Amino acid sequence: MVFRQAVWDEPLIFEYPNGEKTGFAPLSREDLEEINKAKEKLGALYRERLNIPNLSELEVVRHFTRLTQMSFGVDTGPVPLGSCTMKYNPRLGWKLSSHPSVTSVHPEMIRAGLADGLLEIAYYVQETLKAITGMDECSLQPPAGASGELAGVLMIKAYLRDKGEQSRDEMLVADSAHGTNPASSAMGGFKVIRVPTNQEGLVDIDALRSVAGDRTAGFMLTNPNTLGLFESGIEEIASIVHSAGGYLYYDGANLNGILGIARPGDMGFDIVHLNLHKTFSSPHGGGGPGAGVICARGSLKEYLPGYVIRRDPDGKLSLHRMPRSIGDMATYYASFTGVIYTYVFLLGQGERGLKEVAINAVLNTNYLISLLHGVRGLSLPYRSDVPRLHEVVFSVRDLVKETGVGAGDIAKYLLDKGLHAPTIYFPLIVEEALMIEMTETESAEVVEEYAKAIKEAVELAYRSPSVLQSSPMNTSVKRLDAVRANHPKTMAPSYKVEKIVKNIQ
Amino acid sequence: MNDDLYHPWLPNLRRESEILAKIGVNNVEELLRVIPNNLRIKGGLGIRPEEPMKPWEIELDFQEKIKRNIDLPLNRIFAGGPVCPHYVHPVVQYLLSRGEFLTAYTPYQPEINQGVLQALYEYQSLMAELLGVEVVNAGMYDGATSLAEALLMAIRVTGRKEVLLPKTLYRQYDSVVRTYLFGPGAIIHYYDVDNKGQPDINEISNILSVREVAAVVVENPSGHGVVNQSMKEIHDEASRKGALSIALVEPLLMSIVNPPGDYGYEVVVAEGQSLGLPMNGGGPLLGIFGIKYEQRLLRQLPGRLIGATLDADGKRGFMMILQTREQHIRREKATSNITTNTALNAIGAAIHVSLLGEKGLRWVASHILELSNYAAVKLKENRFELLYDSALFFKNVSYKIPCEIPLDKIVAMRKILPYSLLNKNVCLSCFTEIHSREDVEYLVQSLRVM
Repeated sequence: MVFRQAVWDEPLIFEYPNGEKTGFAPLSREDLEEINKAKEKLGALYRERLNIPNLSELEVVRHFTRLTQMSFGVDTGPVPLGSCTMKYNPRLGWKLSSHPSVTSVHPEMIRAGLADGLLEIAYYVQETLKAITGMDECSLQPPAGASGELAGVLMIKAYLRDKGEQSRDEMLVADSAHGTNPASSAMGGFKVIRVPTNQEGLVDIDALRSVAGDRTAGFMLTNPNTLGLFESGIEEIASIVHSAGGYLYYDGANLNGILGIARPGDMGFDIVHLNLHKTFSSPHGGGGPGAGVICARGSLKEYLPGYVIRRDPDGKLSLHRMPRSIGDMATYYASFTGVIYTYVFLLGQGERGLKEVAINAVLNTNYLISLLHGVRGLSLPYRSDVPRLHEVVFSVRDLVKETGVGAGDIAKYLLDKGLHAPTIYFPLIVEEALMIEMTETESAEVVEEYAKAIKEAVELAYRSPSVLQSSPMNTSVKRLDAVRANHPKTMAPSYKVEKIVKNIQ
Repeated sequence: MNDDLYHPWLPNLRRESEILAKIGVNNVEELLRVIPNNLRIKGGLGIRPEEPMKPWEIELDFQEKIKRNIDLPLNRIFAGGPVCPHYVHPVVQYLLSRGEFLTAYTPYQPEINQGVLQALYEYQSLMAELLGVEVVNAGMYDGATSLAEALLMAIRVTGRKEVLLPKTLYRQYDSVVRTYLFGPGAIIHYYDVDNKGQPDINEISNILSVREVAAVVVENPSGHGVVNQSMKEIHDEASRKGALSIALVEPLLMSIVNPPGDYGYEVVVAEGQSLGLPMNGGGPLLGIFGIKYEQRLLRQLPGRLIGATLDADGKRGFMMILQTREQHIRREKATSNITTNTALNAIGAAIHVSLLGEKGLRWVASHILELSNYAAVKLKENRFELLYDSALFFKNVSYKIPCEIPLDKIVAMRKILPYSLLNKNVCLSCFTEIHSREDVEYLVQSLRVM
């Protein structure tokens, strides 16, 4: 595949010739008069200097269009970042979530019963996600997965407080877990206890038994785990955590591998968060906004944040606060953009399609594994004979030893082929990791193309490692200097600081 | 196998057998064998629909549902609070719908995502300019979580565990702050405002003298809409007592009043929805988070940060910096758990501010100031009691009404959403660039006939 990304020598918006222009709306004499009146009203508070560039509407459109041409998303090519579930974001989700009857809803209207259509869609999503997770109640409030995690951690904390068990101050976290799990635990005020992975790539159950005890508040886990392996001992894990008096938390980032096949609720999980921007096809937007959901069962459901939507006997929907709610994780009720993408995804797949989502994601993962089997320098750590589910983690540890070319170099080489790199150097328990998640929406041809490109990269590493070490060449810029970017003397986190740094030099 | 289904989002459906053969297994079950049988869903989940729906069927279902929403013209929405109606420019809507932005991931591979990175760097730089600080991160979830994270940051920076908040804080923000501060078990104190709606500096000073306060939160304007006249005094007092000052501001106002950074505020947070983003029923929004350029603050900054650097040819480029503060590297020692943020909305705000330019920004803010105080006068003229008689209002105006009428009744009668309730008989109405003097008059008239 030939790939040349657009190269625009596009100045910063601040560097455009600054004229007497505006790009927003015509400004009349009366409008300008308003500025003078405001100045008078504000007196000494009035701000004199404001360095915001003035551009015409066309200049702004052109500037940002050029920037899009130097960007890369799922719409451009495969982005098989492990644990990110970069699947296709159906344009119908975009169309319906951009509908004026959605975007122009003031939050006050939801509470006042003036946006029942939106509430009806949210209710459908809430109820369907309850069924998919096997939980008793769900709140759509968390604006992201990590927010759902913090909510879950605080729910456990509040429940333990109410039971008089504040001495339970330890949160167990698998060493293969996403970084958000320990970070959320710490934000919740818990001490983080690391549970190691055994040689099978699964939670070391003996180690878990030895750390679970009367200080255990809970165990945060994802299943399948970040190696793509199903924690087959999950029932025993649940029983150990529960007998110790703790709760089991499900990190839903990896749900795509078991969607419609198995449910966290049946595995013994007490709290579940979901990422609508992963499993349920809402876009990632270059980092966000996403949408999280937090679900719970048993007594813990009483602690859910935000609101749950209930249908009254007369059919009317309304927002309910759970009796022992921990409070709010965001200003309002939900990230409705993500909720509508999810609604479109659920209707567009139906129960039958949902199961096929997981099966096809698993097929793509294992197809990639089979295509890369036996490639010199590339290994599949932990049981190579066990199928992976939503994702797979390869290691190029041997390649680094033999050629000096590491996971980061492979990543840059892939960019030159118009293929986004996988997640690299994660999970931390795998050296020189390439973590790949194809998702169900990539065709077999793309999987083949991706495998071919990795093979080429590895072969090239043995022939001429410097080619990889100097890639990428076909992207808008060449390899960036991370040391300079992060050094206190050269760091430029804004145009303001950039100017200061330039002046010093 | 699936010889009876084609699906646009599942390109390999009809090739399952072929792929299975290439993998070297006989059936899907051999791949799923790792999931114990007793954990499998048996007999289905019972969710609707059973079969995939066609896109037009989904659209019909959506239309059927969404028509139960009451559609109001934007200039008939006056309900105040952290989210208000603002004009979403078609340029913003169009550019954000471009797939290269919309469907990108966090730019962990900077060379292939320079556009996303430059746009975010411009967002950071524009906000830094507007707020009068040097560093603004690439976005938090919303104003409330920005504030909560700012307080957690202040607790880490100062090693103190008490915070001081204004009583006028939006109740939604108060609730989020309480939830977040439950983690470290911090103590919250409150200060009141005087009869002009201005922070009670004596009370602030007293609390700072007797308690070890990590940070004071100072609003501009307040949750009741009053423009703050003593930003400097409060910061200086907090500074003397070893507390950080956190300004919670309306970003539009910052284009016509001296920004908090100029007074020395260590942290500035805001809701960014007023910068050209739709209300979306209350989410997603945009949390703005800025700090002074001090190492002790920078090291504790939550969220993503983009910086300028050079590529191998010496050409300027952009990448995420200081990632060692973040959860994927630092785990339980990270400054926050935040990962997914609101990058696309941050880019939207950058586009909006670029369209406005200095002139446009000043006009929008001036218009809002003029109109809010025009509304205050009109309300008074019509014998509605303002919460603060002689205050200068910006965007939100707080006042009392004789009796409370359910919003749905008012909407049915007058096709208007006149206010949000602060508490019983106390209302908050907001006025933005999309409202005119005639709209204000329509609001006051509607309140009178009720």
